[in-house]
Amino acid sequence: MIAAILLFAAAAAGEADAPPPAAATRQLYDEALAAHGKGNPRKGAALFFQWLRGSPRTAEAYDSAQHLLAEELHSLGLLHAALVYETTVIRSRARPELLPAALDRLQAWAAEAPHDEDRFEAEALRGGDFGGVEGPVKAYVAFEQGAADLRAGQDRWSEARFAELPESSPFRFRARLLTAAVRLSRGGPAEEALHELHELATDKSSPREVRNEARISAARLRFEAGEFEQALQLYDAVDLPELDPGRGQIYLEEAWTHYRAGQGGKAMGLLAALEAPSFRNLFLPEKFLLRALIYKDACHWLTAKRTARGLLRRYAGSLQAIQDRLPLLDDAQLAEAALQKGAGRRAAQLVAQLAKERDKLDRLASAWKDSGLWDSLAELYAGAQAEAERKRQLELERGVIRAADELLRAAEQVSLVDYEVGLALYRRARQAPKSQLAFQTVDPERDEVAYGFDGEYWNDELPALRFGLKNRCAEGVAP
Amino acid sequence: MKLARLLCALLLACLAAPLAASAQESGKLVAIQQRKYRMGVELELGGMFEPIDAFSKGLAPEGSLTLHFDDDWGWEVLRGGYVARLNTSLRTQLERDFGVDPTAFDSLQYYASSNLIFSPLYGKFALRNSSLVHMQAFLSFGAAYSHFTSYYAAAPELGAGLRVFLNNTFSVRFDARDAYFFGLTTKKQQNILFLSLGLSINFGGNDG
Repeated sequence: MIAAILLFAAAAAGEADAPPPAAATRQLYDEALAAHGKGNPRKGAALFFQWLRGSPRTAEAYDSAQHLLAEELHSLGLLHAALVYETTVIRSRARPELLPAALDRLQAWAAEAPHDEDRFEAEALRGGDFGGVEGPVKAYVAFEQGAADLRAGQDRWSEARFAELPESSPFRFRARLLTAAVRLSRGGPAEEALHELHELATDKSSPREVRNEARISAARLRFEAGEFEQALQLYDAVDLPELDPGRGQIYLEEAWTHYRAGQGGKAMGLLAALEAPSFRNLFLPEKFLLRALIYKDACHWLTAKRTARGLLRRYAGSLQAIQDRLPLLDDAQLAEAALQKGAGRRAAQLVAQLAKERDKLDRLASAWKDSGLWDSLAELYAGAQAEAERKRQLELERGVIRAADELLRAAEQVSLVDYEVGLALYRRARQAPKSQLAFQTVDPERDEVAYGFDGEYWNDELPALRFGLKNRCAEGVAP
Repeated sequence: MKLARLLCALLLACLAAPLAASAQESGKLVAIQQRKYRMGVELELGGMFEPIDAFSKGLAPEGSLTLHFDDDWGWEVLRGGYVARLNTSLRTQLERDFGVDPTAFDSLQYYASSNLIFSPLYGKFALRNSSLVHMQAFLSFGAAYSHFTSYYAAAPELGAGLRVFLNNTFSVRFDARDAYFFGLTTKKQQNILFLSLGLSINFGGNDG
């Protein structure tokens, strides 16, 4: 109760301290425009805000001022605030001539950094009618609206939206990829999806990220169907920019595929890639399992046992917490794992992005305090940060359970490997096991070049790492 | 004494266990990549600077044709250039103040050579951690033939060079070669250092 009274008093005091709005004169607007023209976004933003505060929403230049204020805020690195003002222009549509530019900015700025997608794309675009918009942004709007309809199960509407996309537009390829993925997730026929994914993967006019996603999705389907060689061809075709480390999860999937295809050396090479600094902290308990399986299959018994137990050592704290029924959120490894992929990762990135912008805003306090812009934006950011943190917490709660399940499954599997190693040792006394795995030599072919690993990970080499391991199954020596 | 032996045996056993395990684990980890740049038929156009003549420096437009048999070996079928001379102040002073006859200075006028190329080094550098630069270092050995102001000469030639790949078709090549010329009709001898820089155009190899 006392806290509530104090809060109310503080709010009242804040209001009392707030400077009265300056008169929204023509001169003030001109000064703001002059500052904008001179490339002084700090001054320009403060003056545009002052003018907006003193003007009615029906003022002729209101939307133009918001549009310009958004530009100033964006140039100062305040992306969230910039998007708030720009989407207000899009929603109000009081100045239709500003709409294409505002949509263009929304598309470009939204691609720059993590942002609140539900608030900006969803609210500004998905419900609106943008029939009059022409030019490149038309495809962007049609894609966003169609994607929202598709995810909501409105297939007929989404088809109509996607039909508006020009044949050559990158959004058309994205729309096809999204449609295939959504239909597959609803239990649609895998063959149909696979056909569409293959077309996208091989179409040179589709954007690189679409081709890569299509290849990865098709590779997963091939793997599930037991077509390992085809899956590997698709993984190999993934085209990364030079020195891009790629994605750890994909390397692990590819390593499993190599293992299933009987290519132990390549599988082990990819597992070695997962020890690179880019991936070292990724939560991938299965990498221990796969490594132990490969050592077991090559009859490296002691190493197989030690690798299997490596998982139990690495995640000992988390496994103990699960066993003791402790709150999973308190476990640092599980919490980190929960925010490493999917929605959890996006939620964590948004929290970090808003915190970064908030720091930038704090550095502008002295410049903007008098105009009231700082107070207004501080309130805006406080609300956005609270909402982002709420979403992050929700994702964290879901994510730790997923991570705990994944860890338990892997721990169970490595225990099984440990047991199987013991069993194999016992059997070996009577009959030597035969390995299904091939560990090819690590000598380069005529058109290849070999870089021996010396502890330094080069991103371009990660997918090309090979591990030459001796198959000891036929040796018949003691472990 | 017995206790000491026992302790030694225990220590050895403790050391040996992890060693045995690591020996079992010690597979070889290698990154094997498709060689990004391979040369086929190389046509080079560039310039040569001849720096060590005290009386004049040579500058020449230069060209060469090289056939690369594989990634290691190639034959530079022909390299040749025509040299323009830039007199040094020493020569000017000798001619002006001491009346030395200009024909007394024998200098390189044009030349041709043929060499075997051995390229054992191929590698890459990270450029500001954002892109890769591929390079190749090579050695050359062969023979050269040239005309000096007043005589023809032949020489064994040795050199080393560096190639920076720009893409599958173009590369920048730097050569430093030394040739010790013996006059064919006189007993004159001359050591010439060739510093060449050129743009190479690659046909074949993996330029497609």
